[in-house]
Amino acid sequence: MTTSADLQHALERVAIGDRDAFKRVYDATSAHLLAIALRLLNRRDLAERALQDTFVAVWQQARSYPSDALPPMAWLVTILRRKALDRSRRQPHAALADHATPPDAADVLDDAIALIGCTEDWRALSVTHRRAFAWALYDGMSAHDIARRLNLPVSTVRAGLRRALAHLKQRLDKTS
Amino acid sequence: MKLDRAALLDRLAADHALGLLPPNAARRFEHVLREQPTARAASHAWERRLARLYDVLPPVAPSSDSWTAIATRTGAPPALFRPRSPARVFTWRGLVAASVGGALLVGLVVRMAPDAVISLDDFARHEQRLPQGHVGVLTDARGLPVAVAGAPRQGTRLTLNFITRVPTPPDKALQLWVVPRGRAPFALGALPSQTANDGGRVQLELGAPADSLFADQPRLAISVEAGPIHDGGKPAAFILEGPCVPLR
Repeated sequence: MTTSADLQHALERVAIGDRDAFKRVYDATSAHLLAIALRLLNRRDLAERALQDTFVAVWQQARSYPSDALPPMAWLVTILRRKALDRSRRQPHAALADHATPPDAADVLDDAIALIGCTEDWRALSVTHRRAFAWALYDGMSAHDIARRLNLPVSTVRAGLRRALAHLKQRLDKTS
Repeated sequence: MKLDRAALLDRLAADHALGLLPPNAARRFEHVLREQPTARAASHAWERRLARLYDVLPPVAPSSDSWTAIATRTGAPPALFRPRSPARVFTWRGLVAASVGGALLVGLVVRMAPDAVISLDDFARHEQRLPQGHVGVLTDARGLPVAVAGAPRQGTRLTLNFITRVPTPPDKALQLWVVPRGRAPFALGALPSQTANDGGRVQLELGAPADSLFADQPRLAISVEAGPIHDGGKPAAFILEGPCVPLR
């Protein structure tokens, strides 16, 4: 099992061009990152390309990894999310549906919240806010996309997302 | 409600981390992130929080093609991955940025392995000193020399000596390129795979004297190609690369 410290050390090696360390980072994290990309893009080919974009960026930007401020996996997930959203927003939405229907984002978020251990608090938010946040987080939907789906003004959606974020901030910081 | 500066930064950082900022606003905020440590701290805090919410997703193993594509795009196919000497900190990317270092490397290889530097006879028969000409050292992803190229200044023949083997898939061919400063690479010619596999020597006819082809001290590079390169063709990722400098 690769610990966060192992990954951090490996990324420091990647920063000086160590390809073995680069492969170790890939082996330890690519399956998790691909799961996120697949969730965001819902298409295997695009997800694999987003994963590749991510590791090319890691190779190029490892020197700028803020090891004192961000755990390695959080840094990798951040890069992956940006690469996946870039690809997602370049594709027409109709083209993004793959054969398999992924689990509902709200259910995935409920599981994640349960894993963190703050289900009770989370349920205090309205179902609409929870769903909107889940769509943004797991399906990569913009506030406009969510507003269209819920038939609500964008400003209302943004306010709801901010409420969900504020709620999560308190709970996640308590349990970290 | 008027937000104070810290609250505004936190809100923007949250929106940015979740991907909610429109493209222009995201770019402006990224500029702020570069300038302001407090904004970066807020942004990192949100990235850390949101990353935890993905822990619940079951892992999905990537295809083997993904790593191959990454290796190619980052400049080295998996076949070239070898353990790195702990003391060695040079990378080929470092060499790209350091033409002076490249010239030193050329000199070092010339002195350490004079037989690897091609066609000394072609340069200057019977002369004891190094002849005038152009010499390139192509290094692998670790920055280690793999091949040495050379041509006399007015010559139209370039010789390439492989110091170590370069395994090449049977259905692919190695292609030598010139990468001029600020301009697109152009192909010099295909190399027989057998030569590279055996660590051998190959000669290529140049379309012009070396002095004119290598006037701006370009880089030389080798790619693995699926088929012949036509005029104006673009290279696949380079697997070997290095400076080409004049020896005076």
